[in-house]
Amino acid sequence: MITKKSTKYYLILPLFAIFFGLMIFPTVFGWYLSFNEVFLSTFNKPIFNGIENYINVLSDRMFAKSLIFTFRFTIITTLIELIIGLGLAILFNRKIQGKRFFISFLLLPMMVAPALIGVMYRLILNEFVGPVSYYLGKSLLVSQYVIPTVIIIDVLQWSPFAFLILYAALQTVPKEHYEAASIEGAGGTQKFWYITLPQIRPFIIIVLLIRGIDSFKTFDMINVLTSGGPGSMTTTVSIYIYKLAFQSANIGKSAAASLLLLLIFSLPLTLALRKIYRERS
Amino acid sequence: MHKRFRRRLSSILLYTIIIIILFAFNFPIISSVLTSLKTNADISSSPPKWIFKPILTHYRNVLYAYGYDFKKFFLNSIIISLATSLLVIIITLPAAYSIARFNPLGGNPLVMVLSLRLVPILVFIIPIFILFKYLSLLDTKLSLILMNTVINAPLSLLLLVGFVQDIPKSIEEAARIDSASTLAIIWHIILPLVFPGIAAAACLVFIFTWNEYFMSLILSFQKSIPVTVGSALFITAWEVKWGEMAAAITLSIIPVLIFIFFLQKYLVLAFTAGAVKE
Repeated sequence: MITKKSTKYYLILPLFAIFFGLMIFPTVFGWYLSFNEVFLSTFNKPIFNGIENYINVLSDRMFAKSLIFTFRFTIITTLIELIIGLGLAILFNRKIQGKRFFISFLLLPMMVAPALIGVMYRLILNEFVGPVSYYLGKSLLVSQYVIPTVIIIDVLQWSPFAFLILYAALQTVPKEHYEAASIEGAGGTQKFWYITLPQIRPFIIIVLLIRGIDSFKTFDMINVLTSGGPGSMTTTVSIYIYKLAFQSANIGKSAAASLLLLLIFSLPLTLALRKIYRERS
Repeated sequence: MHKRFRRRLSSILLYTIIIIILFAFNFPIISSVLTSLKTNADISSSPPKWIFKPILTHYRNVLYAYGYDFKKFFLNSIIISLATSLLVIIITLPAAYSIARFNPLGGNPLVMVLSLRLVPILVFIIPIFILFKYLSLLDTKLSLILMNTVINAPLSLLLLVGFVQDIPKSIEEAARIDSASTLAIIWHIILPLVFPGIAAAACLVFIFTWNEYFMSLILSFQKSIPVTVGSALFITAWEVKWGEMAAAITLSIIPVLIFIFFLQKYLVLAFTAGAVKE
């Protein structure tokens, strides 16, 4: 090859530049802000205050509360989405006339902006004009029902994602395996546990990982629907940090909280990456 | 005869189940579209009306009446999404070529790219807000284009590396002997061959940018507001214009509808390729 040695670096340079300028450098700047007393109004006069912001965040009961809610929300939604997605994948894994058309409609909810889904539910769940409130005879956004409600909304939007991955996964199971199992006299349930599940295991892990991570970062739908309320019942970590930065205007403390969030994230992140490494090599 | 009847019955059952499921999943969308076509009286009628005479007043209001900025939001979203798709492809195609052919960074570049994608936006958006304030970039379309580009570049890179790897090297080697420059090779040989991949990546980036809310909420307050942030503005402390809001939502999901029905092949390809490779 006659390619100049440096060309391969030039080709990657623009990508590296935007990552550095708009992601890595700001993160480093965020570290700096987290060790300073900075407010939105005094953003150009930061005052060094050591680890005070971190102490403030860790001793903030709201932070702990939002973390607990976020973990609960993530675990419940991710598991339900996996189960529903798998059920749908099995349902659609047969000859159906007009399947492509049906699948388009099934995928539609996850293509719509979560923020818009939030706005739609404000309409549907409204006490005066919402059909759901009318038929149930109660508002679902009161403290008694609000947590199951946001969980169901998330499940209705993202189960199609689990479906998409697992439906593709089912296509990878060789038909001969099923035929062989039938000859051996295996029933439907046995085939599912001993052939289908082991074969699609990597895809199940992908679904759990991607949905788990995205669910943990949830902001859009809940912020539009409840703004984290009533009270702080549906405040996710993202909403907590957002409010800290742009309503309380405490930039230093919110930067500290966001870096603690990164810390919490890096555990599943490294686990995931190690797993991907192992399966690729 | 009996067997055929049973088979027929079970297939009717299957279709019924599928239609109920699809209705449940799409209920918010269906309900919003219906609301956008009702008169204000029909919207607030109790019990809810499912059969009514459709009107287009709310659409007319949203698009033409004085005091609605929705047209601006819609235009902003189109400009931001198109520019982001274009910029992402311009930046990631050469990088994908370099990674697929020379792997200049060593190791597995995809792992590094992926770990960047998993970082919560919050970690860098708060400092970005301060930095953009210094640079007077707040509330500009440029700031949203740049940030959406960063967020979406990893996915595009992931897809394009895969597509470039599928092209046999021998195709470029002839051009190399004629001492064509690398950029010329990318433009004349790689680009046409990976075009389906580029289309898939661009579609996904367009949709993700169109749907982006969090960064737009932080970085735009007036001039550069996109539809996701704009649609929530119909809910004010004084009143909610339900009909107008529903019309705005319906207009906002039209691009997504177009994509999903006409470009489903690319979308499924992009989603599954990205996920399976992850």
